[in-house]
Amino acid sequence: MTLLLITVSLLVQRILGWPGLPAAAPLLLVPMVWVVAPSMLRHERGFPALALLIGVGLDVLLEPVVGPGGVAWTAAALACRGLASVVADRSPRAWLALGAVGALVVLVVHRLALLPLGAAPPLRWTELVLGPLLTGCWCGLAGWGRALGITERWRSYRARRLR
Amino acid sequence: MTKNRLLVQVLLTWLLLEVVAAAQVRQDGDPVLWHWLRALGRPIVGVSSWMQNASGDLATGLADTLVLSEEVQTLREELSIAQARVVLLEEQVETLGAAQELSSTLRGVGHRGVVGRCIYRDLVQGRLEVDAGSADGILPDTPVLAADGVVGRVVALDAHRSWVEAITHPAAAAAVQTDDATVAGIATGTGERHLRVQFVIRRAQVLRGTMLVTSGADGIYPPGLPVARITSIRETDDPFLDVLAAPAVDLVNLRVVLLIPSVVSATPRAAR
Repeated sequence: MTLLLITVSLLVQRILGWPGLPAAAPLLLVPMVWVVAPSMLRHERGFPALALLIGVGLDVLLEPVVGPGGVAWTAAALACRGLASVVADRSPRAWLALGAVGALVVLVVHRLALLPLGAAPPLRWTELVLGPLLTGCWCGLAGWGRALGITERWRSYRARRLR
Repeated sequence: MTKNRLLVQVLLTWLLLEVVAAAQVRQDGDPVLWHWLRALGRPIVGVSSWMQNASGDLATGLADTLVLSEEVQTLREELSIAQARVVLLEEQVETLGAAQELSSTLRGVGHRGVVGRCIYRDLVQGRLEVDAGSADGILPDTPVLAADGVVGRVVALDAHRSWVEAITHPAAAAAVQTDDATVAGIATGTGERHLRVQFVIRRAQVLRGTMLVTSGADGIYPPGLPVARITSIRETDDPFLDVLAAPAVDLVNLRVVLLIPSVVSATPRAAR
């Protein structure tokens, strides 16, 4: 199930880059929620292989070079795990902050991983600001949704109807 | 999974991903990975090239060192030969100087003499060896002179060497007199460094420091050559004074002598 959702998020990420959509849309890193969630929920299983999978998948889908994405997303997973281990807050704000930090780490480390290859594009301030902002908001939204307990409410609603 | 093991795994994964990425990116027609490998291999190639050059230089240096050591050995031998020649030349120069001095001192007889070098001496036995022999016209009993005076006479010889009996030899004797010819005597060797002057009459007026010269009465030495200087005069019960004299010639440092063969050839043995 998780893998399916990750695949969907990767496809959504690719759709965000379609022509006609806002230029800043690709700065929203949709799969970041799959990096933030295990850290916030303390899920040890699949860490950090899931982030590696996301990074390599993004490289395959979006980048000309496969590899730096895996490095960047693994670094983001390590950063989020380290930050979550020292922060007790699990509110949507914490999700937002972790998503922003993860996005910042992805952007910076991706450029650093491209540096030895001589293929690193310049890092602009708009990327550094908008990327973490949008991604943080997306992760905060996911955290808020989880805090609302929509899935539990849906299950109880279905159970009541079935009776 | 411990934290350290996780970090190591992550780092290795990053490294692998970078390598994979480097294999995909091309630079100057070649993958970046190839450039990396070349950059890694360049020091090894450089070191191996340096070692090859160094070994070549070392071999060349060793060969050159061997050649140089042989040349140094040869030069040392030549230097020692040259130094020996210099010593010989210095001796010859010294000989020539001494011969010139000798000729000027013995002006009366020097032009007839043969200059020889003293090549060996044994003053204990009172004998000298000179590098002039019968090939130079030397005969037995030829007087041998130095710049300071009489040295002795030739007692044996071959073609190129002569053995000289010094005047200090116990068997040596020379007829002497004072410069003014008022006192005469016979200077004989004692086997030591001084001479004994015999047959000096008691009433003779001699003083210490008086120079005795040859009188020519012995038929061997030409007259007027310095022989010895009186060092001691003592009266005895005999009718003659006991006179001791030091040789005028420094036999210890004697290097060049003059042999006068014509004196001998001109003097018949019967006359002696």
